[in-house]
Amino acid sequence: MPNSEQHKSFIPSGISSKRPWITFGVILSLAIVAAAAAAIAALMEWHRPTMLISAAILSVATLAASAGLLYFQFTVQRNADRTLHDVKTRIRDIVDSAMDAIITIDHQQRIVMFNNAAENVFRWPSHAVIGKPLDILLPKRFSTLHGQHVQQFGKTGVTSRRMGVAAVLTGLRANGEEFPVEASISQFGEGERKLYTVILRDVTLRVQAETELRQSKQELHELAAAANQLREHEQRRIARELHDELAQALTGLKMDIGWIKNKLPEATPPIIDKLKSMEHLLDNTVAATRRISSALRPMMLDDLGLVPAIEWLVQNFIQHTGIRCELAIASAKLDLQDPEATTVYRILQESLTNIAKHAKASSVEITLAHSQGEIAIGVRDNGVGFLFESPRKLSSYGLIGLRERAYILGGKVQIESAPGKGTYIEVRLPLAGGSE
Amino acid sequence: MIRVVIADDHPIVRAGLKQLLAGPDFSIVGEACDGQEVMQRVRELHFDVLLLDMSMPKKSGMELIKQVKSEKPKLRVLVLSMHEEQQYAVRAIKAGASGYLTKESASDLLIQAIRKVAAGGAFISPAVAEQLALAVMPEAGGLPHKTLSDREYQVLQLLVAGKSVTDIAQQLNLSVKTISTHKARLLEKMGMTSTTELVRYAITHRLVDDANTGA
Repeated sequence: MPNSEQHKSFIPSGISSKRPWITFGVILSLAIVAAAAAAIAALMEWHRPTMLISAAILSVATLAASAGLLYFQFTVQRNADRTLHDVKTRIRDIVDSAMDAIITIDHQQRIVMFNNAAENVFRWPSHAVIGKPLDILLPKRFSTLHGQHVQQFGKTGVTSRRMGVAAVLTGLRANGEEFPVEASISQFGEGERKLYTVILRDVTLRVQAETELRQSKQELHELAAAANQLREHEQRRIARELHDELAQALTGLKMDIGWIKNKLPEATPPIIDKLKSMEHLLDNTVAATRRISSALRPMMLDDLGLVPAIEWLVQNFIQHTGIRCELAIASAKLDLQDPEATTVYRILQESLTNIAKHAKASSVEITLAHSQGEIAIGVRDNGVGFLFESPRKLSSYGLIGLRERAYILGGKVQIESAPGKGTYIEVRLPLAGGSE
Repeated sequence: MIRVVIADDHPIVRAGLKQLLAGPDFSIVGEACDGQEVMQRVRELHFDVLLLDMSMPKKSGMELIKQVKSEKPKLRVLVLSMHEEQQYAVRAIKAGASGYLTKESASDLLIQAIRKVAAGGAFISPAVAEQLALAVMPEAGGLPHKTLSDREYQVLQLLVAGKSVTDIAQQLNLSVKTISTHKARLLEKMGMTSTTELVRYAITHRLVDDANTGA
């Protein structure tokens, strides 16, 4: 590598070290001229010893002055050299102490500087890479492209910019291992003297953490989906047990009481009254059992399908809240299968519960439409609405649950709301089976 | 004497029903506790009224009613159910049942109901009757516009009168989306794809005058 020595000292070398010698030469010549002048004078007027003495004194003085000057020059030079060395060392130390790898390359993309962090990251000692092309630090498949990018950057004239904004870059270690890199590049100088400095960081841990976070989020979603399914399953089972076993048994009991009542002689009014109050109590208990059962999960959803269940839900909502509610279903084909049917039902149920709890609405409109392999559920109310900025509202409005339900089926939730403007919730669910 | 088969998977309910029907007017000729047994009784026994629980194992209530009616069209089916929701009653009647009774009203109404059904009548609660009047009876008329709900018919009239979906939404104080959803449904029910077809139908069936006075 013919250039390597030159590149190694890329920091400018500064003051010339030849100047003191020139100065010394000039003074020495002056001293010799003075001594010569004194010698000539002495020869011409040899009988006058005073002249000789003054000439000798003059030349000695000149010599002494030049020696002094020379010493002064040397001191200055030594200090300057020391300062320069200090500055170089300090820059070197700063560059080496940096946490990030710093690599400088020349206009031919040869490495001219490689700091400690770069040695650690790439596992190359700096002496092994100085003068080598930058390619050795990149996986083969990227090297051409990267070279072009650097050249292009050189042409832009921008001082610095981040590299690989869109994607994480990849570096190559001495042992052939690839790793993700986040880097920025800067440039200075012109033409052949142009230098590029790349500052980069090994982001293996960060990328790993991000991947883990993504995975853990995904797992959380899956867990929520499984929990939801399990809860739905349990609710269905308990609802059916309540309705089919408990309520039926209570009804049987009521028939028995009716039978006793009929068998009793007329003249036992207190007993008959007691039996009547028992019948009444049983009726209330059956009604309560039904209510609890259908609150858990309406059997209608399984027995009759989604549309009747929604109609029943809306009827119930109107009865209990007195809020006008218009249900528009675009197609009879909307009798979906599970899991879509349950999801649509629960989304509507949760939306209506939210409206009853928070919206202070006087009118609700529900639309269900079906197009191009997806189902669109729209719920609009004319209530108080809310501000979107507060994320707490989202949770307190049960909207997170809504999103979670939609997410499980790959659906999307869109919410429009503003204070005083009511709320519009639209959920779009893809239909897996394409029940068209 | 009315011959009855009791089909219910709950012994306590069957026992209760038998007690209620004890007497010279009724004869319990058989019992069944799942859908399969019901079909067996229907095939092997001769009787007048099937007292049928809607939710028994092995076969759903609606299917069972349809199957019974297809094999023995003259057999009267009285549904006795834990479900008080009208939606069940309406569907049971549509499937071919002659009456629908909730179990807790059995002790008061069962005898009356069986007599009525056996005599060829129908037994339904007033609430269910109202629902049926809206949902079931018009369908017998055969004309598609009679299957529309009140709201759908209203939208049809306004569409035929030349109003746009936006106009209708404004007039009924509903959103455009709701009205267009109603429109999609009523077109589907009518078996049509456009308002033009709807207008032609309205003229043929003299719905236009209604529309003009209604609008």
